[in-house]
Amino acid sequence: MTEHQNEKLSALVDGEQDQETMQALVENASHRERWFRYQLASAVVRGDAIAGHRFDISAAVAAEVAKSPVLAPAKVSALAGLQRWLQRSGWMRPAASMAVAASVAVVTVISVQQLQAPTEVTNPAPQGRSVSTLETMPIGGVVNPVSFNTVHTPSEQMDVGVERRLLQSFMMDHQQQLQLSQQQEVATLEAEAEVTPEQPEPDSQ
Amino acid sequence: MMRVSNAMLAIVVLAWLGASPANAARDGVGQQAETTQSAPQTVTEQQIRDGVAWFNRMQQALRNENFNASMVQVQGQRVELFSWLHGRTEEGTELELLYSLNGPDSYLVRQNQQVSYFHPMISPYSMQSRALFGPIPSAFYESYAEIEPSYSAVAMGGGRVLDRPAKHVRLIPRDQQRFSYSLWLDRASGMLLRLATVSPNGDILELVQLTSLEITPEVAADLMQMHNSPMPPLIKDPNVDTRIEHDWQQTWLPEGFHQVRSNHHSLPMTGIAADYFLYSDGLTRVSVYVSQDPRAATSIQYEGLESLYTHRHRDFSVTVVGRLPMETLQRIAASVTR
Repeated sequence: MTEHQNEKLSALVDGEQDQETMQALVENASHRERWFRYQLASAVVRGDAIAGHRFDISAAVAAEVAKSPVLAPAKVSALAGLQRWLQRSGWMRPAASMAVAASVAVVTVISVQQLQAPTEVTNPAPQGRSVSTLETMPIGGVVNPVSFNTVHTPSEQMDVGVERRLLQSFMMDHQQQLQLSQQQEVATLEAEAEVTPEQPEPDSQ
Repeated sequence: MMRVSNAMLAIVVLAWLGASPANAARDGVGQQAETTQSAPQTVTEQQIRDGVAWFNRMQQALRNENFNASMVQVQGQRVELFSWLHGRTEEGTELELLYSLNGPDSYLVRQNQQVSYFHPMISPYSMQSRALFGPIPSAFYESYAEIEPSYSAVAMGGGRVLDRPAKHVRLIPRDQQRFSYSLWLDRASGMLLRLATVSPNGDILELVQLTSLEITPEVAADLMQMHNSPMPPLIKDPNVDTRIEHDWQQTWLPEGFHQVRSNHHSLPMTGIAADYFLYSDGLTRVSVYVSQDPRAATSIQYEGLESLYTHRHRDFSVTVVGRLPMETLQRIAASVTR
């Protein structure tokens, strides 16, 4: 077996090769044993090797390959997912604040992870700061992990959970107000556009 | 050193000198940027004229070109990928679609001034808006005049971005109290190819870069198909009619910020009631919450691309949220008086 073929075999085991290569390799009987060793080694690396696995599986693999149709990468329309949305009949009337609030819930906070153990939180760090990370998620799907610092005075040992909630509350609302302000801006511009044509009249009188 | 002919230019130069040495190493695109960044001494009037012209060219491209692009957005460790289509029909209708390729498949659809949002976890809705609420600032869809009071557009050198000859334009704030932006524009079309948001220290807070771009004579068939589909209903602004309750004075804001929205409302999750003010400098926006709820009086500080700071006054607290340096947020929060 050439070095090139070994590479292919390795890539195949790692799931990177196309079916044609796979078929060619598997059909070559002299490769079978090596194929299986690669397969086994890869399975061990992945942690899913089963003890007592039947040694020669290449025949089964070849049969499987022969059975499955040749898959051409499907050209998926940019709109496939959107079309599913648009084909739904009857939109739910968004309940004013509800819908935007819901969007913002998606928009902003998906998960919060505490970096410090709870014991360290209840005993503030020397500088009186505790650090957590908050993951925010704007509508596009971007998750933005950022650390936040909370400044404690020794007398108030606020529950970090409460602070996190407070922080999320402001961040979510900020996103919501930003989005709503775009709509308000359009309304303002339209109102101005309606007023403008009438202005010359009083001037001319 | 070249002669600086008026006060406005002097401010630009100060901002430039202050912000640039750290930026120089970071916001270049490979080595192509070196020529422009090796010795930034001053900004000429010609550079400003060119910068403004390039910005407006980009704005025209974003509004008028038919394009099919993919875009990567990097914030810290996170990388997100989008597909982005835009077109203008023969009747003049603007069509735009942005959808995420990682994570939940969300779609943002714009037809002229109506934007619809689709996400697996929400009930779809539409809003009136002149731009998508996505990675590209809505100011980029408007003329330079909108941001002119707060930012100078300065034409820098060039480079190669997305295998195209590109022009580098920086939006330099007229003071050190906000972020600057580094734009790389396609020389042929004016199209935005790359955008970096840069802190006053020179840290890149966010990077948006196109990974493919196809400009076509015709509007994409997908967009035309979308154009004729019914969209979800328009949402009603729940806060637009609620007046603020107290007569707060905002005694300091960075130059160029003006109020675009104010109301009284309760926050999601916590229900904290606050008088609310939104200020804009044309490009970035900052929220100011003034509340007498004791729960809002916790001193929180959160620093990232979007930062938050709470300042406790004697009998009320002020929380400021926005894409501004922490020092600016602190100063805004402290400067609210009754």
